[in-house]
Amino acid sequence: MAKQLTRRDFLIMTSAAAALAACGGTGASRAASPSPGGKLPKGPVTVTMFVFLGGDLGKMPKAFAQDYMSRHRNVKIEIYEDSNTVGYPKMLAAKQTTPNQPLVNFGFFNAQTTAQGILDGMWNRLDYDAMSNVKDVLPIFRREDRYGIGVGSDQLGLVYNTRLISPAPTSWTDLWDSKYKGKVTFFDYYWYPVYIAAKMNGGGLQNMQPGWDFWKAHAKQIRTIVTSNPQYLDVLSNGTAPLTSYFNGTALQWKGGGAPLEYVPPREGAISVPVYLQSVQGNTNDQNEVVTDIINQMLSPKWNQQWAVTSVEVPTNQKVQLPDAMRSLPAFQRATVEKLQTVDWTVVARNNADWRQKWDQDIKANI
Amino acid sequence: MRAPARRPAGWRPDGYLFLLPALSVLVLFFLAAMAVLLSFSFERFVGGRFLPGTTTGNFTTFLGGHYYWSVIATTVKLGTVTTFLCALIGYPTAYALNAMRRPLVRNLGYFALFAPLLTSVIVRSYGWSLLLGDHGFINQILLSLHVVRTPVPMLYEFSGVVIALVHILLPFMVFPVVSVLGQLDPALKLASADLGANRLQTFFRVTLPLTVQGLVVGCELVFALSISAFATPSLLGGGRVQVLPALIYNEVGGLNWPLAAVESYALLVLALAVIGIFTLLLRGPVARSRGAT
Repeated sequence: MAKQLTRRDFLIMTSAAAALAACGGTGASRAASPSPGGKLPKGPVTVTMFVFLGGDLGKMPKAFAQDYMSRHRNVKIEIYEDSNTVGYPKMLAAKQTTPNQPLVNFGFFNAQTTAQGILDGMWNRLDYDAMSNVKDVLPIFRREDRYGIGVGSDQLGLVYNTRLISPAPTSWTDLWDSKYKGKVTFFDYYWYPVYIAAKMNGGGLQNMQPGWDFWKAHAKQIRTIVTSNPQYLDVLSNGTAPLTSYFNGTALQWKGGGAPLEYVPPREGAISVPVYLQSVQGNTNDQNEVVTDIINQMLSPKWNQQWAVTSVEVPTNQKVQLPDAMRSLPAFQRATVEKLQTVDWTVVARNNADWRQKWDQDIKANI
Repeated sequence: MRAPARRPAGWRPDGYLFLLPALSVLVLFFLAAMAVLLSFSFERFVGGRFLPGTTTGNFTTFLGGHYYWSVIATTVKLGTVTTFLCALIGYPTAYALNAMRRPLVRNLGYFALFAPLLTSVIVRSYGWSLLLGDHGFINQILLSLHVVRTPVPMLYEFSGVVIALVHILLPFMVFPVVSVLGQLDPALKLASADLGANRLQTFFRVTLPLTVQGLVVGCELVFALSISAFATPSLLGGGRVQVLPALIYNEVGGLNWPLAAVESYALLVLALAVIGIFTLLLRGPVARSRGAT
């Protein structure tokens, strides 16, 4: 099991990155640490990497793949680009039909998918002792069960259209404020506002019913449910539904692309969502050696910083310098980090299918 | 010595042999896949995990749930409304195309009708979202002409899905009707006129009955395609238009594959049942039209 990330943990993480930058740091251009012991196979090895689809999330993994292949001519890294929501069921189907030929060999997976994968026996345990960069990864991102290792951490808060909503929303309660009736949109499906409503009405992750009841009564707040990031961007930008809750990283990438959107951490606290690098069960020994080396090198200051900058996430390597522009973002401010809310992702994974049905039956059926 | 048994008139074995490749594909891929799907429907999925053993609980959950019946109702409603509108628009369109004497004009008409099929359904759905949105082209026209004071909600509503589906599926209604109209003997219309019928009487008493089988085929195609539509209701329905294909997709994404398998079978049974009803109801008129030709 992984220890639940606390606010203090995030504070340490971002403070370390800020302090490093203030002192001049070790520089972001440090080359990736070489793999220990020279255990890499010499024959041809092909591995497939799961990469998040959308925005700039694929930039660092693709750049890394090109760099790695240029230094290891016998290794071919293929990219499988998809969302965890769509891609993970395909991985599970492949595991059931061809367990020794996984759909992907390793990649990026959010905390919920990581927890689901542990339930499904999807992941390999990583050999932390063979990974030289692990010692620089904050302990909160190293897992006791060694199923993966943290590569970054995003957060969920409020995203709104700056041309249509002023002043900016400040609270999770704005999502059900009557002045925004018919102006809210969510991704299909999205349990986070239900969780927040449950907490505010005497429930929580173990008892979500108050949240389902609350949103069933307030379903008319929702103008539309979207099913893809491009559609989401369109709905938010053109004003059809100018308010939502979503990831800080994605929202800022949209803003960087010219969309009139802004991310706001709610005053009650944004929800932290770590991202892990996982090795998938069913790899050959050679593939496992290569995957372990790749994951280790992705955790180096150089590549972890690239991941943090392109995905707009908090890095997990203590030696990473965050650029000034990032450190000044609301998501990285001390006040935001101190209030971050954490969840038990194992509970989420166990209830995911039931919650999905509740989302369809209680909320979508009433919008 | 007994005379050799005679084959029934019209029975040709080579005709059935030509069916063999298609039947092989059907048996190998479709029926085998449906058998695997059926086995999935009895699996146990609890607490986010597949557990050993079998259960009929997925069937009782689906058949006993008011929500699922409402989804079935919405799916049937979408199919029925889309089919009706496609028939209403498609038959006159087919009639007009068939009546065009100039090949260039007729071919341009065919191209305009079938051009949407050249693009993906996702592109077409996004195109409709630009037209039907609150800030889309149609609402901008209505607002600028002061016909309405606030945008008319068309997108992310049942009506928006129907409009897009009719646009996408209209060719599947028109083509079978055009095909049947093209086989109609022009002499029948002349004979009807000679016997004193006006054009409207000729249409309702001669042309329409003789072309009803084309209409039936078009309706069956459009209905089957509209109840199995996924992309258009998902993109343009905004979560309000909950249909079986989208529900199946959600269950697959949530890893509840046993329930998704049950829902898949429900969709198949629904399609077969309604098409069967269609065929039975129109058996008489179709038989009369075949007898007349």
